Amino acid sequence: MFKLQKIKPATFLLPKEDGMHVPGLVIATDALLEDVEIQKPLEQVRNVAFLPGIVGYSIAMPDIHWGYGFPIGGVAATDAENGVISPGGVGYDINCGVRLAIIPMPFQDLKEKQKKALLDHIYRLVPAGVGRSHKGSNRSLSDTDYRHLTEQGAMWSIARGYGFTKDLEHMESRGVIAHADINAVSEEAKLRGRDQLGTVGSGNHFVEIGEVQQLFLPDIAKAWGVHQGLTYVLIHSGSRGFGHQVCQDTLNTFIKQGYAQGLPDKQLVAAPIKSQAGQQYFAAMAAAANYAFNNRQQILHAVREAFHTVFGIPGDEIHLIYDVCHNIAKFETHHIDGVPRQLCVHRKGATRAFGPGAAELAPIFQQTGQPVLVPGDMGRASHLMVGLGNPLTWCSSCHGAGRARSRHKSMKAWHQRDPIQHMQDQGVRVMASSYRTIAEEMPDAYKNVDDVVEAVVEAGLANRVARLRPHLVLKG
Amino acid sequence: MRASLTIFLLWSTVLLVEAKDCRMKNDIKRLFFGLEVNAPWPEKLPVGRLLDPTHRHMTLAFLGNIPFSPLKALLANFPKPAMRVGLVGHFSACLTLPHRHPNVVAWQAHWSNESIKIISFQKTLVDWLLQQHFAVDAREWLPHVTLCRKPFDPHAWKKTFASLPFYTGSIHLYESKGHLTYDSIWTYPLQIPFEEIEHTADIAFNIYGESLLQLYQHAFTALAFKYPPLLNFYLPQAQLADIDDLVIALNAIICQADKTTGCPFKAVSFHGEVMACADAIFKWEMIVDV
Repeated sequence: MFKLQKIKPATFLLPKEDGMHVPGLVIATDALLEDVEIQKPLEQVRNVAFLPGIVGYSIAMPDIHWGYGFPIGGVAATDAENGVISPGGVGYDINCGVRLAIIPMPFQDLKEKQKKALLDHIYRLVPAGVGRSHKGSNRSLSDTDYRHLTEQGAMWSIARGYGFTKDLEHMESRGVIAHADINAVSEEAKLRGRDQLGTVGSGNHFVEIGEVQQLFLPDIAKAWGVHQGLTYVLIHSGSRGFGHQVCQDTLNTFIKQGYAQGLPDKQLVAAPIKSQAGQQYFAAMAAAANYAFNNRQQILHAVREAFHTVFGIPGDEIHLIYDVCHNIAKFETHHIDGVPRQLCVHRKGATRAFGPGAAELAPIFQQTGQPVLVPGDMGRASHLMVGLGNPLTWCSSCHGAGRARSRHKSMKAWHQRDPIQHMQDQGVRVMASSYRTIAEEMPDAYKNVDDVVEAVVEAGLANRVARLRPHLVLKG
Repeated sequence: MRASLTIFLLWSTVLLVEAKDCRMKNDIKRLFFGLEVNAPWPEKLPVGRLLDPTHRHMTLAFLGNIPFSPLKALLANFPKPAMRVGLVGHFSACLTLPHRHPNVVAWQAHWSNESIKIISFQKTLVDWLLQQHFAVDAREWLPHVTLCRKPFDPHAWKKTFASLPFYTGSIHLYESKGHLTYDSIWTYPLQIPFEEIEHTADIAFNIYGESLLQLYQHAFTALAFKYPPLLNFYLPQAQLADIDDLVIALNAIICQADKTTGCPFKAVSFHGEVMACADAIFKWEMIVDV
């Protein structure tokens, strides 16, 4: 049993033990810490603190749960000169992330027939689920496409008509991670991702449409163009098979090269950032991250098309609010003891949450702070928050609700029951290519996102701007 | 008086004989040795008198209607199989048996390489039973699992057949109780090859095996239980140096499947080490990112 010490509201210290370079820091309320499943993730928080070059704390967000090596909901910053970079600190689904767009139409104006037509349209335009891709269409990526899209990020799709230049201002890092190199990526990865751009995938990925239910900070919401009652679309997907293979290839290489030696868990395997292996991983990871930006850009484009077909709303009237990465390693400058230092910040199941004034943000967000998107389960709510730039967590916040129940248990719980009808009875229409996915992703499999967000607010990482209520959900 | 006594004695003798017959009759059972079988059975199957999934099995040797007591006395000398862990394979064809006038629909079992030792064990078992003067079929074994008895539509069954993975567990002496019910009355326990365990975010299994290669095949079968089309992408391995090689080999299969048809698994993680359990059985906890 780990003994945590409360040091601030919703902030606990995991004291340093032998081998840990830094202490752990856990963002949670007392209620969230009562979860019996917390011990294993806490062990991972401790293990992450063994990484060479880690600074500050090994940090856990309130949606923490067990991951491979790093916990999901984990943040770790390593010194950019002397530290390491760990693929386990990024995750298999590199730049898995979320984007939120607002449709200038009250949700209550959508008629039932239109809702069904909209979901049907999106289902046709956005392949979702195992084996559903753009294979056989003319959208397969050539080697030239790969080179350009991994260098240019989301701009590549925009230049091909998938969206608008103004969208770039509303993406983390303007939709591109620098120093990507397609030559660092294997042929296998390219083959896996060739037909998957603009597809949702399976598991917990989704396209969700609903209503802005409640505003908490009306001024900020207004500045961002978010009004109560409006329709929103939330997209959750990542770099698909392309990113998974980049991660896998790197793990295979790192482990065979002995980079796991001395670490308490070989899944933490990490190479020095300045080493050839470390540089190669970053170049490949950035390529996968840029693939993911394009993926979400093309999905949003399909959703815009669907709204245009069903409601006649032009695509450029559907405003992208923001696109965040929640599985990524990025070089950022943060202050340690008043001295600026370049760090490699790993966020795995965690979201950057820059506050007002952050230089990287577009002018509108420099005024307010960065939008932080926190999707919950498909039945209850998602949240739009604003970052406060808390230095304790390297300006990071949570990324979702976090699973409370295993997929296995969820399947059992919903065996011989009709989850689609259940959701319909709750006012949520769900479409998916697999019954299993729906059963595994039912709301009772997740923590209540309201509780997770509460911890983030108490700890001073981000503030609530709006609560979003899902009504139409497309799952894999 | 003497006549009455004679009649009484005769009547008592008849009762004793009848009681013995009755005991003997009670001792007669319809018996066979078989393996318990588990598979991701389809929820919907074509029409027929279906065996409940809990009663599906793989017959090793059919004994017929025989007195149980003599066999029971011999079970202490039951030939020990070479394996300590259940075995894996896949169903490769839909059969109607017997071929000329079929009574049943069965799925033919195809063993994985590391599981073919079951074939020699089946022969050993049959030889042992023959030595004990039991009338058992000594012809070449056709490993299969009966799914249903007639009436059935053979075309519907063959048309809807799709290959599925399976694993076998313990060896049982089964009694056929009629009405497609089979009760185990004696067991030779074997460790099951894998079991799903709880994992909050992903899916996870305990994998058991007697060698690294067997762990690989059992881990692959566990994945195929969740996603049977993976069977088409199996990559045989001649040897594996360590658990890391095993993980890399499984991920090569996932990659191949994802490139071709899509795959619900992202990757098997480099989690945990192989641990030695009792009876020279190895255990590995496999976690699969989904």
